[in-house]
Amino acid sequence: MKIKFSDFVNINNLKNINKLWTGFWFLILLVGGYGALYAIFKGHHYAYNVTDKVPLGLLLSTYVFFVVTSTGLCLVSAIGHVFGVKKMMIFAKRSIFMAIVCLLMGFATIAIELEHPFRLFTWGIISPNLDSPILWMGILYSFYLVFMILEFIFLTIENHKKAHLFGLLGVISAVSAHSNLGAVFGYQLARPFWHGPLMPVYFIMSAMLSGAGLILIIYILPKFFKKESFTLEEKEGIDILSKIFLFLLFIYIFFEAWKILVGIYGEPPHEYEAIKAFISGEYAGNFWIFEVFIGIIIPTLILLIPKFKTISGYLIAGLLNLIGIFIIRYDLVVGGQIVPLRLKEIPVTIYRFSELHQYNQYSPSIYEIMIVSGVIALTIILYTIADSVLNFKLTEKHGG
Amino acid sequence: MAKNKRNWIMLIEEDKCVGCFACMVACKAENDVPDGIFRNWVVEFSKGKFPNLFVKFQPQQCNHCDNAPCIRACPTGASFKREDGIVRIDERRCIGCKLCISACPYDARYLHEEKGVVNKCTFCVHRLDYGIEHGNVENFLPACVETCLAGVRTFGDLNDKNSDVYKKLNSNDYYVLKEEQGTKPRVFYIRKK
Repeated sequence: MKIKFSDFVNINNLKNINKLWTGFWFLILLVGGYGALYAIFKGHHYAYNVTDKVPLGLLLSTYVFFVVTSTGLCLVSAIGHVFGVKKMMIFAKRSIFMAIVCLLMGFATIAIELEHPFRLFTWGIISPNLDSPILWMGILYSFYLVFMILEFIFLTIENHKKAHLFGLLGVISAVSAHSNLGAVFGYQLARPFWHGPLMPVYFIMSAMLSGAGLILIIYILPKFFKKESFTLEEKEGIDILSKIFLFLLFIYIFFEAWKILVGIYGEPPHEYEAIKAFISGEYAGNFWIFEVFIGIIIPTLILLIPKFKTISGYLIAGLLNLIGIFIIRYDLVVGGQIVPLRLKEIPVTIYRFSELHQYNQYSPSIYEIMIVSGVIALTIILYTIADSVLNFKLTEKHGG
Repeated sequence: MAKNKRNWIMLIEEDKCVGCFACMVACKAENDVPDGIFRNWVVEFSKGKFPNLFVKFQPQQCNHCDNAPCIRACPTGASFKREDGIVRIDERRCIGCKLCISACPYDARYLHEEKGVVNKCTFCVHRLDYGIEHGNVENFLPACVETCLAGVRTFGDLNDKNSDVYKKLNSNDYYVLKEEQGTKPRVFYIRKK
């Protein structure tokens, strides 16, 4: 079957874009662009609030958020078009497209965060350290990006055999790359809040959670804007996805509950102090309001109570969960660094900094927040344009 | 003797420390250390119960671990171990990912913000290398060692059986910081007999 370019790209549709919506995000993007340029030309240390005590801040957690979401989109949508649950096939193209966008946005954030990103391509090749999880993360995510792009191309030209192959390769590279990102934290013996073999597993599991949430958003929201109604097929697909979403929420609750119990039972050094900051300390607001209430409890209730189980209910559940997940990433990254490494050894004074018996302090600077807002705005703009220009429908029945 | 591989270690007899912090000053004067940051530092303990209180000082710094988590974390090999045991940072290769800072259990690393690369104690390797080149390395020991008025720090080559570090390490009980991290430090603390 011959496929014409105009079958899947229609530039003329650009004029149908909601100008207020796009314009708003474009303004935010400009603000973010200013923040990024300021950081690059003025110097990172003028723009960012990270210190040698808390070296990894909001930009790194946003990178984690984006690549996590990308992996989640890949894995959850693969249930349909790789593992053959036909009713979920409708999400394939949108999810893969968004997975590519999210991954690129993650790369953009980390490129702004790193002091010398280009050295990764020179010295990372000339003198690679094969023990380093960051190196493997870079290599595996590069493979993942290539596989995702190829998969999207083959989905677009409706070559389902090849799309299936690259989808499978994408899943394999996504799992290995993303669990490697978990290992970046899990390998760190010096930070008990992160250390342990469960971190990579947790990353994959929570990736699927945020992926399921975002697929609900990117599928439902554009239709709301265009005031289109949902076909029976779409409703069935969304229904299955919402069940997967609920299941993942349950797993997340189970996981989080045990992580906290293990962290406070017997007051293990360092880990206990970190978790205490979340349960009753200065991060309690982040934890109880954003992580638990907005991110987990409300979405779970929406998906459980029959009255709320509507399309708009799913959309709200997805949105709230995504906000919660963003804060969860931030708390995970910063939380591992708030306990001073010499807490138990310094009962009186330390002459390096005057902070004593205190948590390491970090709050994002205005430039960090600007950059992150800009990256989020760019993601939304790219998807809005793609939604009107690209044809996300699969015309032919999937061969699988 | 030139063929002999050097094996640099540092001994710290903390009971001799008077808490003058001259080592911190000497280090800052010797090395390009940014404002507000020290490559070495002195921890102050108060011990005993009132009224029998006393104060103890413990100098700390990068331990130049033989099993260094910072080296493992570095993607580009910018952090590496020299043959003589010193953990170095090649600033040209550092991408500034800062993972080594969070991986170090001793909190010994920091970001040199102007350069955008990670820095830490080098055992004043520029002095040592200069001294070896000119055949009088005993005059070019690390700045903190040279300046210490109480002789708290002993620095030397563990492969040299006539060195002070060799003799002291063999005749005293010693410990290392955070042994449970398995980092195999090269900075040893002598226990009082």
